[in-house]
Amino acid sequence: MNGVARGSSRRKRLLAVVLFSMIFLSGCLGGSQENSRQTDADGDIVLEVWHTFAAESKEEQVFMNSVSTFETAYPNVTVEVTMVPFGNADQLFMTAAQGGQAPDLMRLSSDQLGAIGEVRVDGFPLLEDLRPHLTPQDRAIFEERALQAMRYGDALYGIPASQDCLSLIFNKALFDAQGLEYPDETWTEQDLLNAAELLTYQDVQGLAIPIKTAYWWFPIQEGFGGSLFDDDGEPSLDSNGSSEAMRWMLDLELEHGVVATGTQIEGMKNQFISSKAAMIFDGPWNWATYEASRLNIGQTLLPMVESTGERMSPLVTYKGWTVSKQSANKVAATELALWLSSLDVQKEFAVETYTMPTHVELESDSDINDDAVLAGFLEQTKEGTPAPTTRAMSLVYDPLSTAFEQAYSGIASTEEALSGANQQLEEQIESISRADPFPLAEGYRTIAIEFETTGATSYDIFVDGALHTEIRVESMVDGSLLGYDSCTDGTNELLQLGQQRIASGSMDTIECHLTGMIPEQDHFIEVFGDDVLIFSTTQLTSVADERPEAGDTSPVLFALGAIVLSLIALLSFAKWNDTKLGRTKSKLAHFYVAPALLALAILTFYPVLYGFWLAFTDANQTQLGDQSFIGLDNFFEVFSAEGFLRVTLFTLVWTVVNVSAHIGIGLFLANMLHRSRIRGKVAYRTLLLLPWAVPSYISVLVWRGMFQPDGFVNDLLGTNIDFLSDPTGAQIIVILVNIWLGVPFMMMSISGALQSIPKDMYEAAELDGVVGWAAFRYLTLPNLRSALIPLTLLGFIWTFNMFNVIYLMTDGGPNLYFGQPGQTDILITYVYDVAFREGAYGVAAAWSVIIFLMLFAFSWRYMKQTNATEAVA
Amino acid sequence: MTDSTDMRWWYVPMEIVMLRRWIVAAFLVNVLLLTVDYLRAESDLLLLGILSCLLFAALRASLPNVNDHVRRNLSLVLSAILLGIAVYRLLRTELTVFNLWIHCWSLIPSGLTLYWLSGRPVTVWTSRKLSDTAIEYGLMRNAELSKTFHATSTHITLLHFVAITVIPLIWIIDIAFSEGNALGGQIGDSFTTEHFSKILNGDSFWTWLTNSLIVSIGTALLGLFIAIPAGYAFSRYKFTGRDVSMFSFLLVQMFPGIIILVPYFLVMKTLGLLNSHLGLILAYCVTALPLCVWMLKGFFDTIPRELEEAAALDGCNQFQVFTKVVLPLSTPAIAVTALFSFLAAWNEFLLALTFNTSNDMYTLPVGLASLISSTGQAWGDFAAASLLVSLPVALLFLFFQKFLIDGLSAGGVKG
Repeated sequence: MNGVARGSSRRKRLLAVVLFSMIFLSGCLGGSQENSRQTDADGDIVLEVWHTFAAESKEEQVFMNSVSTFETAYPNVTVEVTMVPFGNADQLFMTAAQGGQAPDLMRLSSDQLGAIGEVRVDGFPLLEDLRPHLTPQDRAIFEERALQAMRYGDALYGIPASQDCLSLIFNKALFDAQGLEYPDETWTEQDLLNAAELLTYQDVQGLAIPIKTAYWWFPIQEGFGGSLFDDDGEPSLDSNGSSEAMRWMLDLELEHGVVATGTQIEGMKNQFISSKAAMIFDGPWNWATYEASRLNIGQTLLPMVESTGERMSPLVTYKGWTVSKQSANKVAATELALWLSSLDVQKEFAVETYTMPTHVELESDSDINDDAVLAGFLEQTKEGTPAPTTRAMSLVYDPLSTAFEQAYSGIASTEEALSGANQQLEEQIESISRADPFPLAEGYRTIAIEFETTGATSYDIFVDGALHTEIRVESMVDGSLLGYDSCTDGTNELLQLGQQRIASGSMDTIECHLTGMIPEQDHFIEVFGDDVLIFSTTQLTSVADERPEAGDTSPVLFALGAIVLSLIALLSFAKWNDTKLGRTKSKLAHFYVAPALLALAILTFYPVLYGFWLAFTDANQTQLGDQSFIGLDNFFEVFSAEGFLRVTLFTLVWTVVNVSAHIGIGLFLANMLHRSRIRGKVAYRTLLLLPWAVPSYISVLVWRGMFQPDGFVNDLLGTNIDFLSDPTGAQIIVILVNIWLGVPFMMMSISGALQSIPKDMYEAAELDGVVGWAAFRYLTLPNLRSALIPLTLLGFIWTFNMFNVIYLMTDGGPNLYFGQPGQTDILITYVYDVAFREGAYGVAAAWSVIIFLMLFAFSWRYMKQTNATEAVA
Repeated sequence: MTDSTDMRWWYVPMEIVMLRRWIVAAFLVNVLLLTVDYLRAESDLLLLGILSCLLFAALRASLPNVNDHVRRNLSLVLSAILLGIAVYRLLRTELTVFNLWIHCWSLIPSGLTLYWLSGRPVTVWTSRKLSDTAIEYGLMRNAELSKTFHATSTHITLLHFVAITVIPLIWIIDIAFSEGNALGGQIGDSFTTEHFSKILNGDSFWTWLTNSLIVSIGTALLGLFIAIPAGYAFSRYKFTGRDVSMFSFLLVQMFPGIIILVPYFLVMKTLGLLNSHLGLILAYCVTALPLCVWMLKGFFDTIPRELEEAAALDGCNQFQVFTKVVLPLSTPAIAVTALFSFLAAWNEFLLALTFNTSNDMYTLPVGLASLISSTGQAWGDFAAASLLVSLPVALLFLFFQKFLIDGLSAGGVKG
C-alpha cells in the first residue's frame, strides 16, 4: 500500500517535470522565432514604426495616410505601425532596445534626443547616425536649424519633420468687451502687462501662463537678455536678465494679480477655453482645441522687452523621425523617414493639424502663407531659439523647478534661487556619466571618389543621373564646416555655404565621400566641370551595416533553468524530509504548492536577483548591458544622499497612515453593511466600491484637478488656495487621495471574510447580551484575524511601494531644495527619479535593495509576531 | 417585580441612548469642519466653531440620567445656545449647498437635542419616578424606535461615505459628457455624447476591450487554479519549507517593480511570451498570487476540520472532500480573490505596455494612455473611455455581491 502510494506520487512528480519542460521548450522556440522579423514570407521588407500621435486624432489620421502612400510607392515594403503612449515612449524604447526588440523607426523630439543620445546598450547607441545615409540633396530640403537640432554631438540622429514653440494667443471677444486694441507685434512687455491689468475684472484674468514652469519662462528670460547657456555651452542661469525675467513672471501673479493663483498647464488651458483668460502663451498645437470651443481668437508674436530691445524668444523644439541602431533595414527605414518628412507630408500636417513644418520650400508656400494662423506661428518659430540638443539641456528642468518653488514661496530671492539652480546644474553635468561618441563605420553607404580639377568655376557630382554634390570655386571664403560628409581639396575640408561646397581655387584634385549610397549596388558617378563631363566611374560599397547582435537570451534561459531545477530539487528534498519524519498526511502538499511556486519563480526570481546584482555594479545609462562590479559604492551614495532620512520618514508616515485608514474605514464600512438590516445595501456597496472600478490614472488626475486653485474644493470653500504647492498641504492631500483609492479593496476583502463568521454565533452572543461594540470586539475581530493579518501585511508592502498616486498628483513636489527629494517624495518615487532622470541604474537598484530590506525586516517580524503562517483552527 | 429600582436604572429612553452617540459624532464632525473655517481664514467664525465644539463636548457630558432634571435643564440651555450659534453662523455665510450641509451638523444635533429633551418621554423620565408599567411601555417603545434610529444613522453615515466616494466620479462623468476636451469647468454646463460616439465608433476600443477581457478573465481563472491548491496546502498541512514558501510569495512584491522591468522583459522574451495574451495572464497571476494564496489560506483556516474529517469518514477521498466540502464553503473568499485578480489585470498599465508592443495586443489602460498625446490632452475622450472601462467592473460588483450575501450562511456550518 505504502509502496504504491509512493510510486504513484513519484510518477506524478515526473509528469510535472516533463510537462513543465515541454511548456518551457515550446516557449524557447517561440522566442527564437520572435527575433527574425525583418522580412516577411515573400522576402519583403517589414518596417516597424512607433509613433506618439494620440489615438483617434487627426494627426494619427494624416500619419496613417502618409504611411499607406509610402507602401504604395514601395510595394516591397510593409510598414507595421504601433502607437505608443506619449508619456512612456522613450522609456519603452530603451527597454525594447535592451531586449533587442527596438522598432526600426520612431518619432522623437529634439529634447528627448538630449537624454537618449547618451544612452549605450551593449556599447551601441540606441539610434543610427544618419549622416552616411543622406545625400547633401536629401538634407538640403530642411532648415539648417532644424537639422542641427536633430544632432547630438556630431551625430545626426533624426530627420526633422516638425517644430513648435510658444506664441501669444488672445481672445478677441474679451478685448472687444473692454474696448482694447488687439495685441500686435509692436507690443512691449509693459503693453502686455497694462492690457492684462485692464482685462482682469470679475472672474476674468488678463493672462494665462503657468508662472512656475520653466518652458514658459524661457522666452521671457531671452527677452530680458538672459540665456540658459553661454557661448561655451556652460550653464548661465544666474545672469541678471534671468533673475529679472523670473521676478517679472512671478509678479504677474504675486504683484499684479493678472494671472490666476497657482495656474498650471491644464488650468491655463481651461481658463482660456472657458473665456476666463484674455491672453495665453501657447503653441499652435492647441489652436484647433480653442477653435473647437467656439472662441474667436487671434495670434501674434510674443512681445518685446523695452529695457533690452529684445523680443521674447520662445524655445523651439523639433520632432523628427529616428532610425534605430538595431534596425536590420536601415536603407528602407531611412527612406521612410525621409518620406514622412517630405514636402507633401509636412504640408498636409501643417494644413490639417497646425504642425509647423521644417521644409525650406514650405516657408514660401502659398497655401501656408495664405493661412494667417500658420504664417503667424511660422513667423514665431523664426523668432524662437532652438533648444540645444545636449545632455545639459535635458537636465535643466529639475533645478529650475526647484528655483521657481523657492522664489515663489519666498525662501530665496530670484537671484539666490537661480544661482543655486546654476550651481546644481553644473554639479549634475559634472557628475553625470558620459559615453564616448560612437564612431562611424568607414565606407558604410559612402563611396569615395577623387578627381583632378580642370580650372572650372564649378564642379557638379552626379550619382546615377541625379545631382549629389555641388562645388563652387571662389576665393572669398565665408562658409562653415558642418561635418555631415567630407569633401577635401587634398588637405583641407571644403567649407560649406548653403548647400554648396566652396573651394578656394588652387587645388589639383578634389576628394569627395559621397554619402547615401546603397550597399552592394553599382552607382554610376559623373563629375561635370562647368557642365562638361570630366570624370566618370562606376563603383559600389560593400561595407556592411554594423549593428548590435539581437539580444542573446541564452544566459536568461540558463538562469531560468537553474531556478526551476533548484526549486524542484528543493521541493523534492522537502518532500523526502517529510516522508522521513513520518508526516504522511501531507503527502500531496508539495504537489499542491508547486504550480504557484514555479510560476512565481520562473517569472520573477530572475528579475529580482538581477536587481540585486545591479545594486553592486556601476550600471548607468551610458553602459547598459555591460556594467561591472563595484562593491558597496552605490550603498554609500544612498546613505550619504541628502534627505535620505526625510524621505524614509515620510514613507513610513505615508504607509502607516494609509494602511490604518484603509483597514479602519474598510472594516467600519464592511461591518456596517454586513450587520445592519437596511434597504439598498447592494446599491451602497456598489457605490462604495466604485473607486476600485475606475482606472486610478484618471481618478487621481481628477483629484489633482479638484485641488487646483480654480478646482472644485476651492469652489466649495469659496477660497483660492493652491493646496499642492504647500508642502504640508500636498502631503496631507496625497495621503487622502490614496486612502480614497484603497478603501474599496479592503472593504471588499473584509466583506468576504465576514461571511465566514456564522450568523448563529452572533445570535448566541446576542442572547448573552453581547451586542454592538462588544460583539465587534470579542466576536468579529478575532474571527477576522486570519484575513486581516495578510491584508495588513500586503497593504503595508503595496502602500510602501505605491508609485502612481504621488507620481501623478505631485510628482514628488513641491521640490524646495536642490539635489534633494521633493516634499511628497516617498522612497519609490525617488528611486524612479534616480533611475530614469539621472540614468543611475546602479544607485537606483541600491535604493531598491534598501527598500526591499526594510520591507523584509518588517514583514518577517510581523509574520513571526502574529504567527501568520500558522493555521488558526 | 422586586427589582423595580434596578429596572428604573436600566431603562433609558431611546432618545437619550441615541443622543449619547450622535452628539459624539456631531462633535467629531464639527472638529473636522474647523479646517474649513481655518482654510477660509475667517477667524471669528473659527472661534465660534471652536466654541460649538466645546459646547458639544459639554452637552455630551451633561446629558441627563434618570431623575436628573438639573442636568436636563443644563442640556437644554446648552443646546439652545448651540442652536443660536449655528443659526448665526448660517446667516453669516453664503447660502450654498455645501455651507448648508456644514451647518446642518450643528443645527440638527442641537435642534434634535432641544426637541427630544423637552419631549414627554425624557421629561417624565428625568422628573419623576416611573411606574413599572410605564417602564415596560418605555422598553417596548424603545425596541420599536431603535430600529428606525439605527437605520437612520446607518443611512446618514453611508450617505456621507458614498458622497466622498462619488464626487470625483461625478466629475469624470461631467467631463465625459461635456463639449470640448477640458479638464474642469462647471458641472452640467453642456451636454454631448460626441466623446462616446468617437470612442465607440473607432475600431481600437473594441480591440482593447477584447484583449482586456481575455487577459482579465484568464488571470482570474488561472490565478484561482493555482492559488486554491496552494492556499489549501498552506492551511491544512504542516510540511518542510512551508513558512519559507509562504514568505517567498511576499518577497517579490517588496522589490520596486519599475527597476526590474528590463530583466522581466528579457524573461518574457526568452519564454516567447511577448505580444501574447498568455504572457500577460501569467505575469498578472504572479502579481495577484500573494494576495490570493494568503487570503485563501486565511479563509480555509476558518473552515472547521471536523467537516472534512466527517466527509472522509463517509468515504470521500481527498479530492472529493476538497471539491464537495471545502470549495462550496469558501465561495465568498474565492469570489473576492477572483475579483481581485480580475481587477489587477483590468487596471494594470506598466507591464501591459512593456510586454505588448503591438496595437493589436493593447489592453484598455494602455489604450487609454495612448489617447493622451504630447500636445492635446483629449480629456473628454479620455473620461468617456474611462467610464466605458469602469462600466463592466461596476456590473461585476453588482453580480459578485450575490456571492457575498449567499456565502456561508447558505452553506450552513454547524460544527
